[in-house]
Amino acid sequence: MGEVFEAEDTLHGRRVAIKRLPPGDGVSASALARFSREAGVASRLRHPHVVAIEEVGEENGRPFIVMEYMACGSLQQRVDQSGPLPWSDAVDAMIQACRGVAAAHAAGLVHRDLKPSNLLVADDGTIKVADFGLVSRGSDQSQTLTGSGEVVGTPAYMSPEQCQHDSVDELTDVYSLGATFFALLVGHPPFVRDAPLKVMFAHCSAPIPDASAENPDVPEECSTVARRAMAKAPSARFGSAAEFGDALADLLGKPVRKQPTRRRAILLGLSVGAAAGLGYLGWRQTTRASDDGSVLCEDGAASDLAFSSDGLQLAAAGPWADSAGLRVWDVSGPRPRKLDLPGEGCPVGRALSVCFPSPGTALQVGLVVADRGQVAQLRLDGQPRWWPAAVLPAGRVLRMAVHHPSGRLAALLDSNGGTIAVHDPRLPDPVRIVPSVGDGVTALAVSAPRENAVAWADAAGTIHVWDVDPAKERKTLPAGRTVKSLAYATGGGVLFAAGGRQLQGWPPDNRRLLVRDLDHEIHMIAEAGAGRPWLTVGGPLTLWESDGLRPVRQFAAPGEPITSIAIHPDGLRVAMAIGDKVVLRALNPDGGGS
Amino acid sequence: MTPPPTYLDDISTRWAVVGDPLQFVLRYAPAVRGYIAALLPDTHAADDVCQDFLEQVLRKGFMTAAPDRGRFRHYLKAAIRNAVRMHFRKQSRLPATLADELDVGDEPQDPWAAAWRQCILDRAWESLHRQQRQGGPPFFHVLRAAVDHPDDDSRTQAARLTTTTGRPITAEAFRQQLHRARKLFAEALIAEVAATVQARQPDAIAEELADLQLLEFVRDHISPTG
Repeated sequence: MGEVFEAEDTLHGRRVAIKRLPPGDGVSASALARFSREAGVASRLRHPHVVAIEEVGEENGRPFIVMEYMACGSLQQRVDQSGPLPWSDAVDAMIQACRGVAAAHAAGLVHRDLKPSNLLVADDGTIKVADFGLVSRGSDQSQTLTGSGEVVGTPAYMSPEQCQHDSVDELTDVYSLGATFFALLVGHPPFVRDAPLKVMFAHCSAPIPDASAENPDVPEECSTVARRAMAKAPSARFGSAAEFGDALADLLGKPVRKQPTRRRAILLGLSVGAAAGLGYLGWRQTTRASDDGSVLCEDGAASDLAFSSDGLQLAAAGPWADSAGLRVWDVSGPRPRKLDLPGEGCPVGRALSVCFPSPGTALQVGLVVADRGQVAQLRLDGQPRWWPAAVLPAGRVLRMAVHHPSGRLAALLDSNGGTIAVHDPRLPDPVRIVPSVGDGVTALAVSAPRENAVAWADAAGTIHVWDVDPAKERKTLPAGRTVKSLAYATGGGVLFAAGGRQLQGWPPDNRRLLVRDLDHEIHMIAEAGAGRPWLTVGGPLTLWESDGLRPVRQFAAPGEPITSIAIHPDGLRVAMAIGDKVVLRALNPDGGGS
Repeated sequence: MTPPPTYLDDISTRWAVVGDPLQFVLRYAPAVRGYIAALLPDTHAADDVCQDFLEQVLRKGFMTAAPDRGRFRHYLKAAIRNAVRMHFRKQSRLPATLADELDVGDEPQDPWAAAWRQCILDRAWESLHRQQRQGGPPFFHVLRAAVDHPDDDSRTQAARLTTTTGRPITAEAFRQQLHRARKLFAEALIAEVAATVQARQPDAIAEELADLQLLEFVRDHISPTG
């Protein structure tokens, strides 16, 4: 609640964060009272693991709080960027959070909105609990200012008693801490559903998930501790945040079953350091001990991946200039095999996008050759051979390229007030130009030929849809947030947009907008094929049924950012570009990516 | 002669909470899920029906007719069975078990009654736990000890409780606290049941307690007051 600004305290020469209520007539008396309560209560709390309130004031009738500035963001941001934390880092972070929350409880405060985004990281790596905007004094429900049906808190980390509007106390915070711990371990909240009510229902009744089942790197002991903290009945949880913290500290002090002997010795050494007061261990990315799937290559960052429609081949578009920016593998057998591409006629350049427009016979690549856009085709049947399909307009730099599975290509030429070229190999004159698309294109998509559309999102969060032939504006769609990824469905013309914490879909008839709110940022969307599930990439990987945008399953994300992804037509495997690697992994039917 | 007032006369019902179906479904979510799981052993199908049921409640509230016998659990049961029927209708089949179950009343073996009963009991236990956490005597631990170790005498129970709570307690104190804990638990049960019964008459609440086989826990505490 409220706006947060970074500011300079010129009196003391330090950076601070200022939180104030937003302007507008809609600020209720309860919101003002809630905000003022935060200021009064939290300012009296001084603890190494609680964000300090430096000053409380009011300007032009708008209350504000000056808080300690936390330079390194939140644990939520860390998970969004890099996926689940190494379990020992998660445990250490939670120990610190529990200490801060225990101190607040001792002062008679209940947070009621604990979550990864409220656990902030200081310059020295210390974890501090922030945002006491929903605090109440003890368990008196009358001070929660909820009113009838107004729920205070974030559903993803809300305790069952909060969901049920029952009295809340310190054990509510224990539950939320447990859910937060789970999220740090697996990369997403314990219950991910497509509506807040369903999340709340799951908190109240669904089996408590097992973190070690979702992330094989998580020791069973960690999962056991998380599950106890998330017991439905408060009487079955840890009796306090301090007790929860003690149980977590025991995890660092005891040998755990899932680690090899060498790593166990390292952990014990670190636990001694922590006990000696060295504090937070830092954000080192430890080597994953588990199998990362088949690493197909690790010599360049792929910008696009595609499976052939029969699932026999996988192609990656990237920086491999000696082979038109392509890598292609035969993935039909138990061990993927890299295919040698013909040298004769092979363009030299960096590939941006690749697709298999027809079953098993050819793949098409959009690539940059000497800063000019080109489309080339590679025939794979019989004697593999190249031939150029089109050269895109001269004098412009190719910035972005995307394929539709039908083989149409949209290429953004020079993003500074640039143009979009749409290439359709079926047309006699295969290149069409959409002029003057403006600055700051954040995402691009092209439809199947029958829809005759191309769509792009601008920095303001507006999606522009144009007819390609002839080129003219069709409509604009208000996404309302930065769109990171756009895609047209292969089978039916629905345009999907992923960005922020929303997945949106616009059917061509415009009668219904599909919207799904998530508890994590998503930056990529991919389709397994016509009528098959979609996959979004953010914190976790989420499979969605395209009919009704219903989430089907979630998988833990790898520990590094994914820059491209493709789903095998069988829906059982994914190819991912992670850093300089291309990895082929099975989607574990038990719910983990392995 | 007018019979003396009983404890049940003092209970105010909260039938009005039914007017907020979402809140009510969340309050009894474990019973809802438990009943659906009993009807649909396949966990994926049960989860699908839970989702569909929630969406239905969100859109339209409860689609059944006026509540039967003034008890909300009948109301809710009918709404859940509707959701299950719709699930099977989508698959163009209605299993024999569900067809049979349609005729089952509130017999003890009725899975809905069992799930509802457990939910009521759990809520009463948590009510006792909440009171203890608010600084009262350890009534939750005392009653829990008596239930979990019914054959132990009060001296053994007192020794166990001293270890559990860190506070010394004598056998006599244990017996006194147990008596008080049972009364508080009974009050919590009655309050929970009364919240789901429309009529204010004590008879209706007592009848519901009997149907749910909870009367044994409260019988000694619905005697005349004063």
